[in-house]
Amino acid sequence: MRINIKVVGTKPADLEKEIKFKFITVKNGLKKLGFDTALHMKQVIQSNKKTKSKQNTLENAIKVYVEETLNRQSVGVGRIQELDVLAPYWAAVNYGAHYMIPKSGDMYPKNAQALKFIGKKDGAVVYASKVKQRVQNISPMNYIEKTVNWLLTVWKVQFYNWTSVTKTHAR
Amino acid sequence: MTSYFREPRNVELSTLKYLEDSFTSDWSDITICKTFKQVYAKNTNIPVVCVRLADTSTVRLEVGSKTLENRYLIIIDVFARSDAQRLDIAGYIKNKLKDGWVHYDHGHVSGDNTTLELTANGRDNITEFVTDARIDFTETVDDKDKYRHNISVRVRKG
Repeated sequence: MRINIKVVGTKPADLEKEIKFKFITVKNGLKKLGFDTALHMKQVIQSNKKTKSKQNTLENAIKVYVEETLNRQSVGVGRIQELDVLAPYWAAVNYGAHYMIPKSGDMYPKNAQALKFIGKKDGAVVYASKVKQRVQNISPMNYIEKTVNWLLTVWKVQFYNWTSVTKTHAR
Repeated sequence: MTSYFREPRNVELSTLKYLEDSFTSDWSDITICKTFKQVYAKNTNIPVVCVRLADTSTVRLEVGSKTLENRYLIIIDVFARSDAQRLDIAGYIKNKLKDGWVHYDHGHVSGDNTTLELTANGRDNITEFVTDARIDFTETVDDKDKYRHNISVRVRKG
């Protein structure tokens, strides 16, 4: 399938103006979408959290990165290297796992060094920690996939809105 | 009279049935389940494939209509015995899902909560493949989590 867009009856100067306007709109729209995506991901985590701790370690570790080069602009949400340090449980919380977790308190330790692997008990990984621990099946929260599902729907909706806004402006 | 389940539940059960039937005919010793509790149960041996509906995304289909357009997020977790098996199972699942599958309306006949009645009603089709990747916990984890793979797809009832 091929989709062609053809502009008929527009002066080159007008077309240039319109392209510039669209480019700015897309750039701003992309940035907004990045921040909205991060916000949605945090909301998914908040609403699915079982332990309502005051420290929102995982949520706080999800940051937005805007990168711009001459011919490319991209927005990233959550950097793995940072998450590994700030919220090392991010993968287990998203995908679910069989883990030893602290008996009370914050489910997401502040850094990876807080837990040290020492062996196995009842088939689960055992960590040395200052707090008492228990074996627990961490149910998958799938906050990443749920956010992508939302993004795929919202992006289309926003794109359609953007098209209609541009049309209004061109008149 | 049969009381039928709602569409999201039917999408999940139809997907589960389709993969269960496919694995039964083409593979041996693979457990298909719906929850992580079943996966981590002591008597469940890997390889395991866990299929579930995780999320629904809804928009209005068209202006002036109250019809909703639903996209169901189906997540499939593979718990394999080795890295090679993980890739084989994941590849098999993707290949099976790409053509879509029969959507069944599931329901209970009144007075019988134990038997499911299935009625074919259209097809479930994939609109987007969202993820298809190895899950690497980067540290020593439980044996069942060692060779994990995650496939998630967006499904539309057609």
